[in-house]
Amino acid sequence: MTMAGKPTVFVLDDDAAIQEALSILLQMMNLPAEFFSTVSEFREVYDPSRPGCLLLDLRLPGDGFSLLKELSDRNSQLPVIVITGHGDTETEDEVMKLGAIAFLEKPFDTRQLCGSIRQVMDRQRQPDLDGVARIDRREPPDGG
Amino acid sequence: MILCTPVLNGTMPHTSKTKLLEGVNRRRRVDGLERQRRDSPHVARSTIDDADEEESRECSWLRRIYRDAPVVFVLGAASAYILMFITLYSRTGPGLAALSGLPIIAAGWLLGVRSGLVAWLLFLPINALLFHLVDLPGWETLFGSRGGPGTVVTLIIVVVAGRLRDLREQLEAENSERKQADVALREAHDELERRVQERTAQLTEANDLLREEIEIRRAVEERLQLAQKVAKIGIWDRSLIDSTSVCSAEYYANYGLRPDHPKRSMEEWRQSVHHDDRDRAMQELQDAMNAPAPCSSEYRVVWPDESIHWQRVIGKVFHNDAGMPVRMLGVNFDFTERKRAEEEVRQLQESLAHVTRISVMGEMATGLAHELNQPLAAISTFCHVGQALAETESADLEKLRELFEKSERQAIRAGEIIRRLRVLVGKRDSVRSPVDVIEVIEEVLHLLETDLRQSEVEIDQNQQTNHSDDVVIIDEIEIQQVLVNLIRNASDAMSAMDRGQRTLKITTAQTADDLIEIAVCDAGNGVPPEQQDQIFDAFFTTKSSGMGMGLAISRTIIESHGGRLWMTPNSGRGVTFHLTLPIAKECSDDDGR
Repeated sequence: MTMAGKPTVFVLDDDAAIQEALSILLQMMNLPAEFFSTVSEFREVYDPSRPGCLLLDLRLPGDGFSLLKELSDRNSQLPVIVITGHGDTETEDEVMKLGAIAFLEKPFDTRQLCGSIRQVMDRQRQPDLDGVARIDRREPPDGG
Repeated sequence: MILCTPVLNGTMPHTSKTKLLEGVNRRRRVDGLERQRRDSPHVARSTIDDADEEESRECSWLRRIYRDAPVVFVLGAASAYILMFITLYSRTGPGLAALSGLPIIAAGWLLGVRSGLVAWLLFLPINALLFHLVDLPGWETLFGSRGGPGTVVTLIIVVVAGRLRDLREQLEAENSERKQADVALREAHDELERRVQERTAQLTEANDLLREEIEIRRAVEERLQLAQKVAKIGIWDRSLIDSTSVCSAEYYANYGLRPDHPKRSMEEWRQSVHHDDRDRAMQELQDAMNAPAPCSSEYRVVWPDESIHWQRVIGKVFHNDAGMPVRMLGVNFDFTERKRAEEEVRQLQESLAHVTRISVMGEMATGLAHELNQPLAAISTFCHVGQALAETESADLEKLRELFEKSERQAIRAGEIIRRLRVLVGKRDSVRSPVDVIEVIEEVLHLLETDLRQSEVEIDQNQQTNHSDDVVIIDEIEIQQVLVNLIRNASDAMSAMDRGQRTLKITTAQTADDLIEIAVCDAGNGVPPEQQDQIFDAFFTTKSSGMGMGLAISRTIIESHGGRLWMTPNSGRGVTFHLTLPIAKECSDDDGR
């Protein structure tokens, strides 16, 4: 568990390998992280008052898309970076409309992911800013 | 002395003898006619009747003499005695003596014998003459008195009369017997005639039936021969004692031989069987030798023109009391055309199954892409971290090694996913091999892992078999296709259920008849009763997407494996799909060792 108030990266992906890879990456980035496999698990634990960001896979038990829509409906301040294995333009447009700050397709460019996370987390540590970090969407890597 | 001569000679009167001889001849004639009647009953009967009437006319006066002669003679004798006594003791003379016949006439009259008068009239002059004659000298000396000649004559008359009476009785008895015999003969003849008629009627009826039966049999035989020719069914009958055989023309035709082909030896038959099927056919023939029931075998035969034909043989081996096989009898028929048609159907089914797999894979593409991208994303991340580590001054080699190892695992995982996809989508010939059915189920669950996880379907796998019983000879890909179809259907059926109620039970059990039964049980909304008979029909679907071929193809695949696929509604929610597959006994035994 992370310390209260310290921005945390919440990872919601049901694939163990992805969780393991992101765990090592975030550890290297020296960022606290919490991992969830289902939407319901996340709902049980997540406290909207906690700062941080959410790395969200769309296809997982409980439906990541529904969670994103739910957060958007609640005007949640939690920045969401969508990482998905089956992205298409329509999904991306819809996701961005729902307030996601980035849409990354698996296999994603790790540098791009790190940049997005770092940017969001830095803003989380700077409360004088708007509070909600927005990262310009970047084009997906060419051919990995 | 007219009457004395024949009597003294001890013979019958000529007329009587003639008649008696005629009677005997008639007897012979009748016997001859009887024999003739046996030979020709209708002709003989009328001839016998004519003979009877003729004889009756000829013998009527003779019978009257036979009948009355004894009485005539007795009465005559009595009158002679009376005359003698009167003559001897009263010496009244012939005139008075002639009167002595009056009591005789009276007695004869009273007895109702008209011949008494005849006797008296006949013997009166005889006695008077005798009386006159015995008066000659020497007669009295010879007989002691004048009444002696009369006595002798009377005795002779009595003897003759007795003899005639015996003859008459004998003739009457014979006549009576003959009449009885004639009556009996006539009755027997009538009876015989009746029986002949009855028997003739029976024989006629039997003959008609026999003729009718012959016609029926001929028609049946013609139909059978025609059917044999049309259906190319040959008949063979082989003696296992002297190796002789009788074969129909169609039998030879099924081997591409002419009907007048010389009898073939067992070795010639063996050589005509396709070399790939030869050992199996010989083994099946050997097995049939001790089998109590009819056996069958299918093999290819090579005709003299080197063309290959499929042949099916059904036969039975007969054994003697000692249990030794003595005879083989059966039929053979060519089913090359059917085999070709079956092969075409099989290829079409395989093509359809392939198309269906492609279709299913298309439906699963999104999930499969996601499934493949997961390890790739993990590899990408591991590599990025490793690269960052490598760039540091004090690179932790152990950590780098771990990252490489994790990347390798994920690369292998990605390769497995691609392999599964390629296997399912690739066009291939059906190949059957011994496979552990539990491993097949596991493989399918791996393939559907992402789909099931994201649909929040919980898998409850229950194995009720021994490991050695799980081996079935199947085309693994085809059975995977069936299971993918059933599990995806079950998952879809439960999509409307609340989370936590989406439990999919997969049970594996062995049935009593050596089958593996896999049951896929969902807790969905079930199938409406009016649709339960249609769900296995081609192009029937309750989904908005899909061709409606999944269950139809699945049933075809399972049935081609010798199993069954069916559905039963659950007592609670949902339905259960059952499929059976034959256990590979030999393989399971090998595993057991």
